Amino acid sequence: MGHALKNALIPVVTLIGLQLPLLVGGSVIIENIFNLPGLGRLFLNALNSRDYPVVSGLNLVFGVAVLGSNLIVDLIYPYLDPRVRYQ
Amino acid sequence: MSNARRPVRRVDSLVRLARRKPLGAISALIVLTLLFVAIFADVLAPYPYDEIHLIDRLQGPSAQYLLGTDQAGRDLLSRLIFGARVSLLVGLAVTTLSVVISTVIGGTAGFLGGRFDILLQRFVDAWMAFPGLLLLLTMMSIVGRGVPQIILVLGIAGGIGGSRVIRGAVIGIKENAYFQAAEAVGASRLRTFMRHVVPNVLPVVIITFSVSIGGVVLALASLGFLGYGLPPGIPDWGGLLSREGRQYMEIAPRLAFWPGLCLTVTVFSLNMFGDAVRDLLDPRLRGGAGRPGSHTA
Repeated sequence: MGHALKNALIPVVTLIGLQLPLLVGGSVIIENIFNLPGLGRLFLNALNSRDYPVVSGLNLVFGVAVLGSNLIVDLIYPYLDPRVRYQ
Repeated sequence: MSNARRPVRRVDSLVRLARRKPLGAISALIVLTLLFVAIFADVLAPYPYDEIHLIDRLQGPSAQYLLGTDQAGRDLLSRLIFGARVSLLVGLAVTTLSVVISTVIGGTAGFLGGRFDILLQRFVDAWMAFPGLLLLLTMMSIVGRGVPQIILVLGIAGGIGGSRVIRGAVIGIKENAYFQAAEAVGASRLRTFMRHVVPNVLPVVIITFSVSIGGVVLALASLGFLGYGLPPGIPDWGGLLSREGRQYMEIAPRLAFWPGLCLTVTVFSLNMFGDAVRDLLDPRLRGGAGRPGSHTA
């Protein structure tokens, strides 16, 4: 548990970080199929009504979310693998 | 190797390839069939893709319409056959464009290095921070719907992301002794680039091409599904699935089933084909046979 799991988590954490952009793209499609009132649907509705402030705002939100998740992933590495050190 | 023996060897290697990579060989066969269908769509399709038979609306499969008809009485099989042409044409064009863009960006950034590289990479970083589909949708809504537009948007988006791979390969090549030797004897930058970088980076370029084409077909379908794909008059698989397919899913599920099956089989075989090409061109990455690096080429 303490030895195997911790080391096995490293690629898993990397993958979680990489999955987020795909997840957002998928949410746009899923929310439109099932009419879910989420950010993905808001994004497409804004595009359809040429509401570019909303579009750029949502792009900013998702961009920050992706960067933030990548930062969190990078910050988890030193905990999982003490050899990784940041200055 | 003499010229007379060459064809025999080629057939030999093809047989060996089929035996070693059965999945890749089957995928290649499917891809070739698709290419054939796409090229000879006019001859193969029983009807023109936009011919309307109002009396035979939403018909089931019959001898007259092999896969049935849609809500305007258009033959589904013919639309699928022309859809293969559209999907493959756009897929090939997009991949070509994106490979050219990523080779130019990645090649120059990796080769020149220094401040130019750092600057360009921050731009690529910023681009990759946005989720791909959102960026595609935003760009498509700005440039509008159309075949040239979609090729441009998908090509640029894929090219910028893919430039990282090429850049990495070029930097790797620069570390080799033969490259440093060429620099040491005073070969010009252009000469070292053309003689040493280009031939060695070519396999990577081909791999990027063959691996990314499946994703492009899928991205095209996603865009079409969200209403930002090709214009309604053009029968592409994503459009067939999302327009007629979704609307009439409950009374005529085959309108969604067949385009979906076409997409699945095509993307799957393109991916498997790409993987097989990668394994053959890059001996370090023998998929399935063992871990990378466990083989000595």
